[in-house]
Amino acid sequence: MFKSIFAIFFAEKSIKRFIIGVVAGLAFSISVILATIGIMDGFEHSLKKGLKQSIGDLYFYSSKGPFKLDKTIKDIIGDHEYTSLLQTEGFVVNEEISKGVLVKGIDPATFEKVTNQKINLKRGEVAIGIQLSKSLGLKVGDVLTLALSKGNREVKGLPDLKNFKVGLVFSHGIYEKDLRIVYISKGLLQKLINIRDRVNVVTLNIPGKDLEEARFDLSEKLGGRFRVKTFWHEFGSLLEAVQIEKILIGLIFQLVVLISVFNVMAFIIFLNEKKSQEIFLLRALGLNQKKILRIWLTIMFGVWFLSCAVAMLLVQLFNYLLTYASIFKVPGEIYHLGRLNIMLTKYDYILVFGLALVWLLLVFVIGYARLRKKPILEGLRKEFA
Amino acid sequence: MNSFIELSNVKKSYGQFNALKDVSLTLNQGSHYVIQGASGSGKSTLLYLIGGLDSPSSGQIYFNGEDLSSFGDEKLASYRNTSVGLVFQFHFLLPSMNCLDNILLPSRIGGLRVGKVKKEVLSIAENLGVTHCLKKFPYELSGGEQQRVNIIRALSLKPKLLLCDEPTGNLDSSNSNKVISLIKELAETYGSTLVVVTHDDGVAHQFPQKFFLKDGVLDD
Repeated sequence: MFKSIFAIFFAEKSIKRFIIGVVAGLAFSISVILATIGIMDGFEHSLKKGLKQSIGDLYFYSSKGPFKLDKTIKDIIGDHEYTSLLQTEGFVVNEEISKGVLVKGIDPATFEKVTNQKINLKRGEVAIGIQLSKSLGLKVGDVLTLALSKGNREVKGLPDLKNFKVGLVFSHGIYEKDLRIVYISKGLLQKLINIRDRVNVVTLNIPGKDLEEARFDLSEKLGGRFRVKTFWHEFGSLLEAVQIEKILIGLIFQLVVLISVFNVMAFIIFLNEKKSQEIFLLRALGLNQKKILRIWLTIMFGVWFLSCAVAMLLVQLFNYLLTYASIFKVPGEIYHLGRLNIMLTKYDYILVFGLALVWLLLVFVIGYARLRKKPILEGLRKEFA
Repeated sequence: MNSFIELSNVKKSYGQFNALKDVSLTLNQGSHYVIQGASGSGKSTLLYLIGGLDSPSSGQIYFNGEDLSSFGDEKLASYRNTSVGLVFQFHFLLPSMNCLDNILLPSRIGGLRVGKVKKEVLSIAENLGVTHCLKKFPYELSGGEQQRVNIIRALSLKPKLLLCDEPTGNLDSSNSNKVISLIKELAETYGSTLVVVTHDDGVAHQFPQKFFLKDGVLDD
């Protein structure tokens, strides 16, 4: 029965074209919202991933400056993978250009265990970020000059200038990190700035645990002298802003869906007008309201389902363009990441698709009530007059 | 005879206009009736009220002793689908379907096995001489052919009540007589109660039981 009645509804080309337009419009609106939310989620995910690659899960430092990694601290860290760093500010000088950088003294073996970053440095070598290498025109094998303070040896005076070979160009995927970090051997840096065996940052991995909770526990154990931070702390306010923006943009973009839903309303009115002859005749011949409602609901859910499916395809297309098309490359100094990509969770899909369905059903209820009100005889006489 | 359809003090108003005023009548099972009246006398309104296409402003219509107003939408739709066959004055054939599909609409709506109904339909079509029209679209047929297709659709589910609204309205007198004879014959075959609404004296004379409607008032 359904098949033949649907054939009556969709027999004409104009109706088929209209419904394609309606589905395309709604799908595009849904995909715009999904893509926007997905870009924000993708931004958050990529940023966090990049940050984790540079610092591990948690890190701590002393409010009183460099400290010795003694047995008490090691006992507190326990079995967790950790690495200690010595980091200080300096300048990289190449030919006539200089750039302020954060020089990180690392122990490559333990650093790799915590961050999964393989930074093998030979004697006299440094690793620089990809953006810094581009900015200064440096490549592997080139020599750069590092200007560092003299540590505690002299309060004033000229910095120490040392030449290093670029042994590695790395990428954390975060523009600022790739522009400002220089890795060097920890032992060498300790010697250069006269810190002996002291460090100023310890970073560690706490797998499978809520990091906020772990941060709190570690902070309690280490005492007030140490500040314990999660890996995203540095960009915490930015990530918070992204979350708020995501909600606000999601709400504002409901207007886009609403505009498309007006198209659906126009389609219901169009179908109603165009097919009212058929609808009233079918009712006269014994089609009950329940079956008519089922037909309308099938059309509505069909439009919704198709729109969602097409929207998912469009999102994939947007993501492909964001990843590969040069026009979508974003300025890293503004967005921190060189490229944005779309990342969506089930929750995002459920929320966006669900809201679109709510709008559709709302419009449908209005349209259907209008159709139901008219008596059969009046409809028949009017439509076949 | 059994009282098959009974109307008790039925009134129908459209705003200030009273289309039917206190109409009461009884129709017996298997009998044939004609309701005669001038244009605008309310005869079609009466027919469609009996057919469950509209509801009276006041009064009751009983079908086999059951008040139609007590029927829910589903039961009333089922009544229209299986118990009533409607022959419309203007045929009301859907232009987007061929004649056979138009005829099979009631069976499809009722969720019946179309194959069985189709067999019956083909036999009636043969009797009425419109087999060649079944694959055609309504606009390809003459007025008389359209009317016969309309009749087949009304009879396709062998209704207990066959209601015809000016079935000869668009036909000449020769075709008109043929159509009335066919309707009567088919109603006889299926044991259906037949109610024909007409303004035509020639048609009315072919029925022994007549009702007259004038300005919404019934006079038998």
